[in-house]
Amino acid sequence: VAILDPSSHSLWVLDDAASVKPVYDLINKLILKEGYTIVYAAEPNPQMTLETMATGGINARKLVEERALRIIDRNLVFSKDNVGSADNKAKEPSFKSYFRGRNKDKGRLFIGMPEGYFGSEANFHQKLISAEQECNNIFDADLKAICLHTRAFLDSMSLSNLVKLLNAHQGIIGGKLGVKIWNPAYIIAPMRRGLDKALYPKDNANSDSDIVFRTLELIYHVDEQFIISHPDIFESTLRKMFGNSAKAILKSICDEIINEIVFDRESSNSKEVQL
Amino acid sequence: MYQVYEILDSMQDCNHSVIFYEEPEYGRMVEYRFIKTGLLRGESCIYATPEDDIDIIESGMVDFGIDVEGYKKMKMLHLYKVTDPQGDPSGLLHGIEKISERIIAESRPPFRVVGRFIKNFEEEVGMRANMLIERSLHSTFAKFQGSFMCPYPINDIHEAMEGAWMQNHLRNHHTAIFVFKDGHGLALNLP
Repeated sequence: VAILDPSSHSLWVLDDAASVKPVYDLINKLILKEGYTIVYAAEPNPQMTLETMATGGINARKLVEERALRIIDRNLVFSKDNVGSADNKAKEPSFKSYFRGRNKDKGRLFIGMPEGYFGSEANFHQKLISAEQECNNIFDADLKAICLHTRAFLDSMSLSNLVKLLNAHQGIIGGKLGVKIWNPAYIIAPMRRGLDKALYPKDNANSDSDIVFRTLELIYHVDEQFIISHPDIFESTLRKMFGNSAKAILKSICDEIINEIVFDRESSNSKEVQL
Repeated sequence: MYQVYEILDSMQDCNHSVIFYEEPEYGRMVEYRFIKTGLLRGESCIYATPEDDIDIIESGMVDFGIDVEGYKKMKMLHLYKVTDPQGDPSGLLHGIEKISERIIAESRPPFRVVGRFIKNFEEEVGMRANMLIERSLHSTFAKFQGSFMCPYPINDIHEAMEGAWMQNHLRNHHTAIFVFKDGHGLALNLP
């Protein structure tokens, strides 16, 4: 379970909320082959989840009866009473309390879809990111987590928030990158591609992004390391550099980053997650 | 070129821009657009060049849809061939001042100028003079009542990005426009 060893808090981006079949397969595999106990809180209707899992050939009812799997309404888990607010931070005990009554497990994994959390509040993206960052202090070798997010949710984020969300995780599951320990430097290549596609979407040996990155470095003192650590300053600098064109350029960059990490059902590595 | 035109058309009234182009044909399109926009806004437009190609510039403007004769009669458009200020006996910067005074003498602000004063800016001496002129112009640009576009033909923009000359120019303009061999362009606002 390579990804889960060093990465206690991982991100898995789905095409949409209904594309959870590979997640079910992973759950089944981790429980049956690795002896994990799993709490799954990514959908709103546990009964329906059970039925869908069964339709996919997973004897979920048995796993639940053996207390290897617990399915909880995500809206119950991701509420302020349980998770806490952005101000008082996520609550470690509440995550641990979902695991009960099974002593022989070889690992504990929490799978949740937190994107609706803070959904009606102002600055909900920033609040969610703060909560995700806090999760790095909660999940560890004894209790790991996979956060499911949808492409649509990531599409709604600004570039800086998207980068911060990625950087708030230690591992990434699926997409062109495959299953990897997350390295913040991974965003640079798709950023360059996004810039090139937006500025001049033709094959070009000398790309426009080279000019942009060189200018950023020379004039704005923004190098690749700075971009990784200060995505908000990078975004505001691009807005200044490109004026009215900035919106389309930032969208193109976000699209490229998301394409890099989204778990695409069509991609070759997505039939089953090989951990 | 859409992105270039978008930046070009949204430039503020007091803007010092630089255009680097690999093919004169495409670079001129940006220059003419800059001039045409100014004329339509009622600004006094001036084209100043050290090259011997005023006639070509005029006919190019006509082909671009600018009523050159009409605007010249209204004293809204002026084209000048300028002499190299490096040869001015009172010094380079004084020479620049004299040229600047001359090219705006027949116009009223706001001005819109496309202008380069040093012909051989790729040679060592000309390059240093050119860098000094750009620094000097930019440091006092707040006093200039209008916009100024500095055009430079460059063989290879990507290669030039590494040089001190390019860095000097990026640091001493408000906007940089790059126009490549294949005709596509990139415009960047600078701090």
